[in-house]
Amino acid sequence: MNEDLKNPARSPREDAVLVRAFQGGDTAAFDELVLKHQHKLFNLCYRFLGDYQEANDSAQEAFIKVYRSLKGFRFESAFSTWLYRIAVNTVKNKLTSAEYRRRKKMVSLDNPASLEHSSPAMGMQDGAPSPLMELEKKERMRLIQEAINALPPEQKEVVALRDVEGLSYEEIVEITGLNPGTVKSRLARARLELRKRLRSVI
Amino acid sequence: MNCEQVKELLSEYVDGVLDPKTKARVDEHLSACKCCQDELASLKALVNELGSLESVAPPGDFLDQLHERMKQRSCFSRILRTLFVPMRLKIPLEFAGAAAMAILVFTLFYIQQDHYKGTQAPVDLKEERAAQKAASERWGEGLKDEAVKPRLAYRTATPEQPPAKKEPIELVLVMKRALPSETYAPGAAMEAAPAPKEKMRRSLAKKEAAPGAQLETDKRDDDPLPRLTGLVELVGGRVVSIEYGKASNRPEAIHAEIPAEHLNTFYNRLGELGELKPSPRSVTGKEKGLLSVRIRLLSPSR
Repeated sequence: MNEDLKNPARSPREDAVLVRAFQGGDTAAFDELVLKHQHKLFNLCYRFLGDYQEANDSAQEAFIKVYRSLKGFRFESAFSTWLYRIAVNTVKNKLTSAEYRRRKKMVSLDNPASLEHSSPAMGMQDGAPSPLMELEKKERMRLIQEAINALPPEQKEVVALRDVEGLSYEEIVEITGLNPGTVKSRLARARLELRKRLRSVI
Repeated sequence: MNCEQVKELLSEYVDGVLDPKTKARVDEHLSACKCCQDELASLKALVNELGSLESVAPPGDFLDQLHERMKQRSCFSRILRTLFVPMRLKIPLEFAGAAAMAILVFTLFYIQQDHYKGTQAPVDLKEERAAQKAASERWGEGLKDEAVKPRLAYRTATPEQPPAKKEPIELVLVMKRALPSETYAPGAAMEAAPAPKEKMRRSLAKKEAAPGAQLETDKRDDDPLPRLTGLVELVGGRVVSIEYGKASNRPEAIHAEIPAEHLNTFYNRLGELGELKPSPRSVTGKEKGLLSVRIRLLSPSR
């Protein structure tokens, strides 16, 4: 449908092959799909929620939903788009759930620096950065994530999809179900907000 | 195009999604406006920063965790499935089960309530129930009843009627005349009998002129009651009731219970007071307890 919009890193054809294999009864194909998309999906969840454990929970929840409805997948959109749509809805539901908000409140009261500690995989990819640089980088990332966390959910959604995940406007439109104008204006407002908050950093 | 308008379009400008015409106008403004250039630089820096955010990796055992979770879910859904699927079959089945349970519970509840009512019933109702129960038991024991009937018939001495336990022995006592003087006036017994009798008859005849006094006289002379009650007490029985005539206000019958063993004595002594009709059967030694006797008192014909 919109294969021309896809990143070269993702290969919709292969996704389609795996989906068909799963629909044909090959449950291992699902595992392959998970391994292939877990990073992107997890990262999206993390940027959205700003909490490692919550992100893990949401990502797994999203994959379970995918597993349940994959048999009925009709290829009306790319698998990845469909996957993101499910993940975004799962995360949004989580954000609005009373349980999540209650927990969030408790965490922020108990341990305001929980964000830093909840992302163990961060900052391990550079070659051999100096400890100071490493520290500065970590701090920057923390501040950026905090700024994202502070955005209203509808702005968080478009920023995470566009600037963090690097999806196109069309993909975002398809995933969120918003019209293009709304996506553009929300993104502009979100960026303005982030610049205000991160003036000292950037 | 002023700065405000340009600033609003910068986000799309950075992403390269503006139509060429608008983009050209923004470019034109930017080339001349330092403020907007700074704005653009800041925006680009932000977008770069966001885009270069290191990807946060999921835990290494993400897939295993997922499998574990799916297993748990499938256990739960299997239970649900065994309970409710196929819906068309199992929902009505479960509904029927629930309805049956409800009926059972209500039935038990009402039985309990009836039982409660039974235990809390007023005393008279209880007795009624006991009587009903006794009656039904009697009906149930037809043979035993048959054995009892002849015996009762013998006792009551009225074989043509179906004997009831409490039915009294009916007797008629035709009172002798001038009994009191004979029995209770020892002195008079010594005298020649006709003289005082004639005297009394005369005095009675005299007093008939004054009817107001007659009753008193009759009572004094003819009232058999004290003698009868005395007799009953003598044989160890008791007076149950005394029937008075409506008009005359005189005793007409006496109902007494006499011990069976003394009944013959009682009859003999009654014979002294007057003539018994029909002449009672003597009682065999088999009978025990109190026997009910009703004696109608008849005045001697004048």
